[in-house]
Amino acid sequence: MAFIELRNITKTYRKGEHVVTPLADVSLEIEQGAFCVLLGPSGSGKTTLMNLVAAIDRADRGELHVAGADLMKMSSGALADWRAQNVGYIFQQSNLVPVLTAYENVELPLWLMPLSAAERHQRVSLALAAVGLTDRAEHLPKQLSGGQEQRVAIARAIVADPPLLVADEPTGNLDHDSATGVLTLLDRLNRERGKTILMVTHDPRAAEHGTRRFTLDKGELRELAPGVLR
Amino acid sequence: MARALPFDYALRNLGRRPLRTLLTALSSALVAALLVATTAFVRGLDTTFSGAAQADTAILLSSVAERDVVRSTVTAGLSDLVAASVPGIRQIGGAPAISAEIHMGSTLRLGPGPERADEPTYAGFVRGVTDRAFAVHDAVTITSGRPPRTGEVLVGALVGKQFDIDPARLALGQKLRFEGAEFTICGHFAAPGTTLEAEVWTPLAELRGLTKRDDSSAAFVRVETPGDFGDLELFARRRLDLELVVIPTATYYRELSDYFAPIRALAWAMAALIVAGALFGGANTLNAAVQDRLRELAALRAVGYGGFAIVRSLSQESLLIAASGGVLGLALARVFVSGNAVSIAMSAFSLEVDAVSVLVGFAGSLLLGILGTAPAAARVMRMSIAAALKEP
Repeated sequence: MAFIELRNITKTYRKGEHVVTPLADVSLEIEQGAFCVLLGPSGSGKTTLMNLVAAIDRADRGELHVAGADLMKMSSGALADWRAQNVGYIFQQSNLVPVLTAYENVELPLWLMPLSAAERHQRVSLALAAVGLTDRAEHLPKQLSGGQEQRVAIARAIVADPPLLVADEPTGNLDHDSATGVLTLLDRLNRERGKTILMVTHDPRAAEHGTRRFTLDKGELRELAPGVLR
Repeated sequence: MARALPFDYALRNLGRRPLRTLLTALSSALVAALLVATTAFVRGLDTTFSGAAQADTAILLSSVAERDVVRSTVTAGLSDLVAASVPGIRQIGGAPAISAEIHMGSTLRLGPGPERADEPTYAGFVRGVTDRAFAVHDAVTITSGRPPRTGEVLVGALVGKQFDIDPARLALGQKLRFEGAEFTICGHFAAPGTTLEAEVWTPLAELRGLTKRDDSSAAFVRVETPGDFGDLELFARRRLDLELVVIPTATYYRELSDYFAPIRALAWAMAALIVAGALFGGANTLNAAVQDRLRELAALRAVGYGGFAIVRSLSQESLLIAASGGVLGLALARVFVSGNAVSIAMSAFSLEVDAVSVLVGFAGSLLLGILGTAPAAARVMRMSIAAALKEP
């Protein structure tokens, strides 16, 4: 079985009086260790698809297996546990907790795991070192630049060593240099640590980092040939 | 799996909106202080009457007085009649423990000299007594001076607070005027937790003369066996000419306490209204805090924290505010409530911040903190993570 497997997934939601169907009978298979990029116009359902894979939203029907778990059959409590162990989520905005330091933000996922204080410290230190922010550990988010905040968010996403990273426009709010740094970091995590990455982006330059690229439009998912970006 | 957010998260969140935190803590303080005051008032009202009750003492009242000691009149010689006719009367100091007394309301004036139209007057409760009163009323202790002789009064510890005057004006040697006569203060007495402390005691014979009465209001009779008033009741039934009714003091003061039940209910109702207002304010504040942090809370859910972990953290925030406000409220109550006297008609009682009122006040503020979390908790539990992550 593929690491990520979607079979005839349909998702609808209400927007005012209208029913919107961002995903209609979508099927997809992604092997472990892939760096997949989801492209498509705004409102095409990219983020919806990513949220389903990351178990923070539920499909209306279809089959959805990720990392060996049948997400369609799990309770919300079980999904929360599953997310803690299997998914690192990188948002467009860093969504760091403003009252916690960079160190404490990175430590947050580890409070959900049966680890000693020393183990937590070791993991947080390694994660911060991986994103090159050891010297910013005691800074609050407001004391960091946008790029640094996003790197802290990546450290938070990888600190529990989940097999899957999902990233929703991770470079959308960053300048060129910061965006390059973040994308290079994701490349390394994919190549060196074997993380499966699912990234939503509008940025063609970011899309070039993907080993597989998909486009989603009007509820239809299509894989692009290597080198093709639209 | 441990699923709780670190306590530091809840603690530091209190500093994100300092003004809002402060206002919520102050409303919690108000609730705690108010509950302490209400509890002290209700308990004071209860104990002030029950405190004067004694299991071995009954009151002989006129049967036509509808159990009102002020309206009651009994024959002046009743004490001697009871002593001679009823067995089982307790002997104290070689004499039967029977105290004939006049109970009356009067208009009191402070200081010596003739009555002046522009001087303040005070509605007080005057009791005409003999030395036997001290053998019957166990709660009474003379704290300074001595029992009153002709032209003298003994003043209760709460009279000054009831009249809201400088205590120096009721010092030994100061003058009081009522019923057209001038009295010198010869002593003070305490009777903690009873309405006796709000009374002025003067010799019975002199008060009879001043009020042109040849009777008493009632006789307090102490028996050898607590609760056994059978002989006293038999005496009252046999002497129909005296038109007497025997009421154990426990019954008499309980009925007096029951009379004030509507006031107690009103006090609780007012407290409940203010608590409800504070609850609404607290819930609104926490709900606003959740609204402000919707995306952040959704991110925590995405990281793997369940709804209960978030609700628990919000409850910690709410309880921290409520508890600190509660402690402040208890301190305010200690300063502004404790020891104050409450006047009721011509009587008064002291408000005491005791363990029960502290417990009620603090528990009330904590309950406020817990209940105030409910709307925010419901919102977090219902929250769609995906939708909340799109919040601006």
